[in-house]
Amino acid sequence: MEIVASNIGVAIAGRTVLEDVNARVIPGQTLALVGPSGSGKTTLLNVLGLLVPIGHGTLTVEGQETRRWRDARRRAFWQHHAAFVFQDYGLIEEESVAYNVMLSRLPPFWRRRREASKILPILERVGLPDRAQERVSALSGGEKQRVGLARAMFRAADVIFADEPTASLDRDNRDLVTAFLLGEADRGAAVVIATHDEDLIARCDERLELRSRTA
Amino acid sequence: MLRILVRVTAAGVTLFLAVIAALYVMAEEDGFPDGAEYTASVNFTQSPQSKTELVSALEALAADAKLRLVKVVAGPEDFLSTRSLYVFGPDAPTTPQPLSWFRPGVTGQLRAATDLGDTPLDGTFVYSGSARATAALDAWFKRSGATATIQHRDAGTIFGYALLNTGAWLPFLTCLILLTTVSVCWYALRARARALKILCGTPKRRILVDDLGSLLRICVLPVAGATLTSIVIVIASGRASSLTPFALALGALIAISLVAMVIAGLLTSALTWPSVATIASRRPPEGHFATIAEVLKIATLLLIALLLPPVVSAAQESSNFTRQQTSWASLDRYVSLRLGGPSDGDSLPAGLTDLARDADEKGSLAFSYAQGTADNPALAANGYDGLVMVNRAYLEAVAPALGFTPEEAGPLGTAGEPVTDTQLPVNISRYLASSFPLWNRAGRTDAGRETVLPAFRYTGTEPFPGISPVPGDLRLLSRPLILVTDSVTTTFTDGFLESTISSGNLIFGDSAWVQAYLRETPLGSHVRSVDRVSDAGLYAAQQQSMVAQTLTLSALLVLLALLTSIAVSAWISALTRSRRLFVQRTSGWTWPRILAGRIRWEATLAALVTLALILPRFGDISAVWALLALPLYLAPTLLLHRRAAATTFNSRINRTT
Ligand SMILES: Nc1ncnc2c1ncn2[C@@H]1O[C@H](COP(=O)(O)OP(=O)(O)OP(=O)(O)O)[C@@H](O)[C@H]1O
Ligand SMILES: [Mg+2]
Repeated sequence: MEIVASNIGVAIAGRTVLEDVNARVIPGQTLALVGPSGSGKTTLLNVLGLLVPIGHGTLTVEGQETRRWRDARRRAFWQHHAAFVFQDYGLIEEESVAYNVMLSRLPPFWRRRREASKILPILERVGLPDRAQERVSALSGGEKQRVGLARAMFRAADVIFADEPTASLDRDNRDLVTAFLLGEADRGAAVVIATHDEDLIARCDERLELRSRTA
Repeated sequence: MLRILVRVTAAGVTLFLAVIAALYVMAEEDGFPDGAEYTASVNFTQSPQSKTELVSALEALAADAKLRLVKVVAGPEDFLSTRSLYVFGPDAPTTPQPLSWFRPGVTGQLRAATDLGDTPLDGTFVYSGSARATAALDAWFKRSGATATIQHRDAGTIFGYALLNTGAWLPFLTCLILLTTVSVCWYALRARARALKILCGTPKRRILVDDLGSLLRICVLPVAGATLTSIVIVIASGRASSLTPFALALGALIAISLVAMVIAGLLTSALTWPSVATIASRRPPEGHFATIAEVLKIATLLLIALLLPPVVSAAQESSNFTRQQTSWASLDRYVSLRLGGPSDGDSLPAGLTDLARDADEKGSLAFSYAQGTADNPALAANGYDGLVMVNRAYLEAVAPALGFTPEEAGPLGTAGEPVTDTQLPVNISRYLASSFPLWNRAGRTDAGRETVLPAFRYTGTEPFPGISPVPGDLRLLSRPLILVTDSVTTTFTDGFLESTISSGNLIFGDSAWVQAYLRETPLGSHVRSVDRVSDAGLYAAQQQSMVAQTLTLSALLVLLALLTSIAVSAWISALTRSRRLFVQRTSGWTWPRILAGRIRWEATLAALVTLALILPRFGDISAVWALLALPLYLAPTLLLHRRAAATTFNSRINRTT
């Protein structure tokens, strides 16, 4: 799934957040969005993920102009092609880890095993085996971040939008996340990462520098 | 978002309160027009004095005691939408002045009591003045033989009346619950901030005052704005003279609402005070607040489901009553005579039947004498709901309103089927035969004939009005037996004519002619007043139409308040679940899927409400209408949920929460 942004500009609340930015998201490649805090990394990520509308410029998904896309079309894109890893984890605090990964309850017991067999390996990969039934609000920051990542894994999406996926993690877990994102690219997914993590940036295929606009 | 919700709700509720305040002003104006201190319902039937004497006595009293005394009359133009004041004493205007009322669509005139004319003196008076002056009027009522029911103006009573009898308490209560909900949620969504403050060691009282202060602060502007708007509307619509009572009522309502809101807030805050332990337990704090909001919504729904139907049926009753009394309008040319005089004994004055005979010859004498089934059980047994004796002049007066044209052969036109003597059931014939010799002029009952008058079964669609022997009482009968006489004065005995004149069943269509006749003959000294027959009925019709209007307005207001509370609860539910909505939507869920749980819950609620509406009327087929509540509740609810969810989602992306 190729997403191309050309000369896009975004203004929020009367302030220009992005101006004349060009970006290309290509299947099988990792793109790092870098820049100082407040430079618009999250905003660009949201633009590419069709969450935030653009002010000017063009944004195409598989060559199709998205400006006129209605809600239903964008929703279908989110449903079938995208997975988000949010800076604030994007978790439903009062639900369990398993629910947050699958966004549905575990089915009744006779079918539970098959569903469980799908998410257990994923929880294992993010280092949270046997925490499936725990309430998310009780987890630590780093654990929450990995639950957010587990959801992206579970969805096996065509494009992954990850916002600071390694921000609250220790060395080992950072490696774990980096390995997962690069692995997804190898699988053929397009991966966009907004990050300050130098190690992660170094291992990405492309990098896009955003400049601070407050200067 | 929550701020916007609080602001919109505050403004909306203030506008609702403004309408309730307007209802209060209308109630006050209905009961005590002209800014009067007292209202009296007066009946002069037992008074020995003539109307002219009574009027001049009242004029003198008003002048001497400096009493502002006014008679309230429905009319003169359209009896439903004009209400006039007739002033006694020196205050009286020399020419009629236009009068404006607070109630929309009502006009009237300010006139001198000397213009009363055929308007009966019985009815509603309002007055104000010094204690000495009002006491003088009380004493005069007693002296002159009038019976008066007097009420003193009292803001509390009027307020109670305005809230209870106008049905306004229902929208008011709905508004209070709505404010409570908003207040609870305000505290709910600040729970995290409060927990943080506790961790920072902020004193408890400070936190309470801060939370409350910020809630009240956001409300100030919308409340002030809505208040100002309503005041501007009152002034711009030419009702500036009622501004003070309106503003006072609105102020009182706002004060009560604020107190309710503050109490609700303090209670919530006390019940859910976060302890350091709960903060450390990493438990999300908002959860159960949404439950409180739901409970309050259920309370609102049940309240409305159980109490709106009585308000609606009261409105219906009032408007039915109005429709019935409106039949008097057909008779508004007619006057009745109140008899009695200086040498008043048991005997009736001579010359009365001559007056009737002359009027009958001119065709301006109408006769209507109605009996219900209580007076004659035989009628009910034969499918009639009453018996009315009328003459042609009466039929001609009521025919246009009933939609038929009297003809030579069939006086009831298409609205009546002739009933021959032989068709009359035996028990009715027997009843008529035993009654008629008393009523009927001697020699007119031949042995062979049991009834003297042609009889008809009324088949019209509009109920047939008949004047009952109780003064001022109009009976509406849907399938009466109607006996029609061509000439009242030749059919009935003098005694019957005289008693029907004094009971108001025999009425005169040409007031000027009657007045002239009375001036020229000795009979004049036996007639105390000549009064239009329709006034009392039309005044009652007007009163009830106003009541119906007010109740309907209240019912509409309740529905609007309900809609607002549905919207507020949809927004609260979206706000408390905004994170879940965000996650689900960005995972590509459709709105119906995201809202499935809500939809199920709301459908259950709607079903419960419908049950609450239907159960008390079990077996009543008309209760099927209540099934409409289901779609009527669900459609706006689901739309509002969808809208709230989408707005919350967008505001999260745009970081405007
Ligand atoms: N709704 C809004 N109102 C005002 N300013 C906004 C809004 N949304 C974004 N901004 C501003 O846009 C700029 C870019 O924000 P963005 O979150 O994209 O930065 P970032 O590069 O992701 O920063 P960080 O590295 O700290 O996450 C910031 O200055 C932010 O304050
Ligand atoms: Mg960011």
